[in-house]
Amino acid sequence: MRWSALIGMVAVGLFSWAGLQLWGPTEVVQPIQFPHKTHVELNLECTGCHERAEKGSVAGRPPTALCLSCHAGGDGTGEIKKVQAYEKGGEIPWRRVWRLPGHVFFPHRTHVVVAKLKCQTCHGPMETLTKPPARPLRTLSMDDCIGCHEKAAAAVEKAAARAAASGTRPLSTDCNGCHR
Amino acid sequence: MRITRRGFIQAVGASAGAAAVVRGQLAKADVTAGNLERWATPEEVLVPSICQQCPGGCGLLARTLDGELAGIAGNPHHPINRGALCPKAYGALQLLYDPKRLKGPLVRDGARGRLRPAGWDEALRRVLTHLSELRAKGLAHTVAILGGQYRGYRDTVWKRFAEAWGTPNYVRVRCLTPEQPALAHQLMQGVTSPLAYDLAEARCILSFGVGLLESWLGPVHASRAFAGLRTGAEGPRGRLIHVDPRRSHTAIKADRWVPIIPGTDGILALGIANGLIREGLYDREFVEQHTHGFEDWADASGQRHQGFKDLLLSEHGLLTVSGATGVPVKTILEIARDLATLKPAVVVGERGPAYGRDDLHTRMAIHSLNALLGNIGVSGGLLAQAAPPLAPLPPVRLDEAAKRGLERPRIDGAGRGRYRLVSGAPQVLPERILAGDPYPINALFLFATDPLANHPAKEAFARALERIPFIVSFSPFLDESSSRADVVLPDSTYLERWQDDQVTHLAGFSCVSLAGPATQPRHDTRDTADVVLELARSLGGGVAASLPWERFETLLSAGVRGLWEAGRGYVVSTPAEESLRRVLERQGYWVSEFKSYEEFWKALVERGAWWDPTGLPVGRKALLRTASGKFEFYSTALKKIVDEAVRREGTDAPLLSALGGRDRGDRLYLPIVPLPAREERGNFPLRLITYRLVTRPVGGGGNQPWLLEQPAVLVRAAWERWVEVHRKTAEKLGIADGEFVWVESAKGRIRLRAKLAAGERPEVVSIPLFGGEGPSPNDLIANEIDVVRGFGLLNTTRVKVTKA
Repeated sequence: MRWSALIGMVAVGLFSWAGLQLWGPTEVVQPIQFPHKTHVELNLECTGCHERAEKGSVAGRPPTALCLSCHAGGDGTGEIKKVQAYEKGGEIPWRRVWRLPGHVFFPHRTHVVVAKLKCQTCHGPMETLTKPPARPLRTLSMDDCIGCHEKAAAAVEKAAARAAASGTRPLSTDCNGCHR
Repeated sequence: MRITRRGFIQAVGASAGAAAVVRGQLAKADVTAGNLERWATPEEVLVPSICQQCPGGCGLLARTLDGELAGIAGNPHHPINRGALCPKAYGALQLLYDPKRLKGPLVRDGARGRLRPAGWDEALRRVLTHLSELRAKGLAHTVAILGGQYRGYRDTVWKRFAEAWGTPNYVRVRCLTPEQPALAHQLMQGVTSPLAYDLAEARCILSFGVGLLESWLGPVHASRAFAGLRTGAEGPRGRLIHVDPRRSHTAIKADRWVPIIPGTDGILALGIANGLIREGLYDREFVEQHTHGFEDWADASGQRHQGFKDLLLSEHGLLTVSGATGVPVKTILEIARDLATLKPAVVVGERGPAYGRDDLHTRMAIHSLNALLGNIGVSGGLLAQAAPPLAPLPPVRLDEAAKRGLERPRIDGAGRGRYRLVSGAPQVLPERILAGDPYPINALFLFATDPLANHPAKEAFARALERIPFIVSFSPFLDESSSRADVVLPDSTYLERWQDDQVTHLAGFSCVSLAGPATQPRHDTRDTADVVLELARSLGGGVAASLPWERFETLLSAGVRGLWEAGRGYVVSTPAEESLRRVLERQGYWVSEFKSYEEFWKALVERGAWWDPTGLPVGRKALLRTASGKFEFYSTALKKIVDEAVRREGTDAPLLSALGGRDRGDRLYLPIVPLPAREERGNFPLRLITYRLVTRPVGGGGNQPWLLEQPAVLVRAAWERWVEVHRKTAEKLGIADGEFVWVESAKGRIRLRAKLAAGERPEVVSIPLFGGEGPSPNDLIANEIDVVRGFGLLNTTRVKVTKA
């Protein structure tokens, strides 16, 4: 009886782990071991490569032409050589790491350009990574969004007149504000 | 009341006496009132003239009262400035009425005795005697003529005089040669007239360090073009991107100001080119059809050459460019996208700061952006300045003495070896004169230049002048240089003499300004052009035959006849008349306004200028005149110059070392700027930049106090001189705003008031360059020559700043 209980517990544990592996976020392996740290230390801004973050809803990965505008020449390391292999054409098949649930509408432009949030607020300390993240550094829940919106809304209310005068959009905690 | 006979007679007598007195006084009062009226309403005449304070050549209207000059205004009909003027124009009045002007010629007795007043005959006789002696001894070539900033027929007179006399040593000291295109344009496009930048019609302008709104080609018409860019077009307003290490007026007014590490503009241009190519934003059609050397290519012998594109992409990656220039990668890409999407765009890199030995390649790199954008020969892009159809003058008649003299090498070495690319190298004159290399100079003519005032080599010039046995100055003032002269033949100021100016305009049309004297010479002075013609007449022979005109006015009339005979263009008139004529011309009608040349000449003198707004050489054929008929990224013209140097001089080493080394292979002929080696800052951690203000004349200044009074609004300064230091740098050095500091270079040090600035690069300090008394930044700058432009390298000095 004891043995069967133990085996049962192990089995339940294994199933749970397997379930987590199947249903939870899987480990992402990128085609090139891109070091964010090295690039940020060269005074490159996040939006210098992830340009669409300032322009649209989705930040996206940089086009390969942009990587090649710096990495075309010289004797590079193995990883840079992999980038240079795309000189003849084609895009590096980067894999997406961050995904929001399909029912959430999150415009990057509003948060980066209008609210001037730091990328790290949602994405975590990306500037410390020497290789691509296998999974998101931070898991965002709805509480994170609501918390930030409420905090910022309170600050805005204090300067309501100023906000009204400058035409700042009011911060909403309305469900329809983010949910499709 | 009792009337006696005596009383009656007395009363009549007194009344008659009083009437006589009053009548006499009344008659006198009548005369006085008449006088007063005449005095209060003198005859007012507005005479067109030409401003000569900078190479802009704006049209003036001089207000004269009974022939005395009383005011200056802009000529509303003049196409360059349309009635607007910059502050410098008004300084002309103070030049004219300067109490320190020379009242007549001066001659020096003995070798270095005192200067004493003399008559024109005596002074001219002395010059003639000396010149005749030199020519008789076969030493015509040992006469040097040092000229300053002037253009048009005044230059023609001197050039013809030098040639007919037999000296190759006509050397100009000036930072601008507005009548020539930049060397990069000559080499890449084969053009021989200056390029025009159609700024008013462009939608995006990228400027590399050129002070569009300060002291570029002409501040007034550049400002008018800028106004056109901002508000003139019907569509969206144009965008100005300005690259400049200094927070200048242009930088402040630009839509985007890009502070850059000084001297790295060419590398930034290549970064932008990289962005354009990498993102496929360049004009493929233009590049494929109208350029040479973009892709790898093979010459007639089958030898392969690397193309601009491959070299650029492999050597000038954006991170490398960003590291060298201090401009973020994102900014470089955004500039590239702006240029490609806001069409037409134009890139201006002409006549900004000098970039040392990389100057030529920097300007080629900047100019290559224009080719990548395909804006050559299109409205709103690059056009060529149309040359005015002036009448050709008879050829210079060279006698034997002249031929012998002209065969001798120039004393400044221009056109050979290291100075192969320049037409004059005044910076090397002092050392050559002192060394007697290649021969001693026996006479020097100084016209419109004062090298002893604020030239970087003024001490050496002073020593050199001591070695010249005979110096003739034509300065209207007893300035530093003319006080060392043996004979001073004072010139009239530009409001007192016949003037012409063949000014260049950004919109590309040709324009000739002409003006008679606005007022009679105030003193016993003469127009130097007339004096040279008189000297030539007295010298006789080939010299007289080459300059056969009685007076300068006669020469002007002979040249300007070409404008009349060309059967095109107009003498400027009211806008309504001009519009009508242009409408007619578009329909194919051109009718002359005048029946004879005399009428044409009279109208030209009365109105001030001739122009041809419709005869613009637009189109790619007119602008691409290289051997291949294409825009040459790989400059075959530069290759030819280097090959010729080898053929003529047996070696190309001096030229190649001046251009940055001989091991550059194809890179030497391509617009590739080598990345700078890390600079050792040593004891001088800061970089000095000198610049020009729109309110200050560069030469002179001390005799135009109105201009010194004009405030430099960005730093809240007037009258005195100053150095701009970044706030952070000042904080580190413990310097407060307005405190005196020492600015010290390897050459020397000057004491100036510090003005704190923000926004620019912290390692940059800047000092405005203007004439007059007080410490000059040129006292800090070594006497190095720019081997591409023939002027001093004024922006390459390192300094340190300490509290005074």
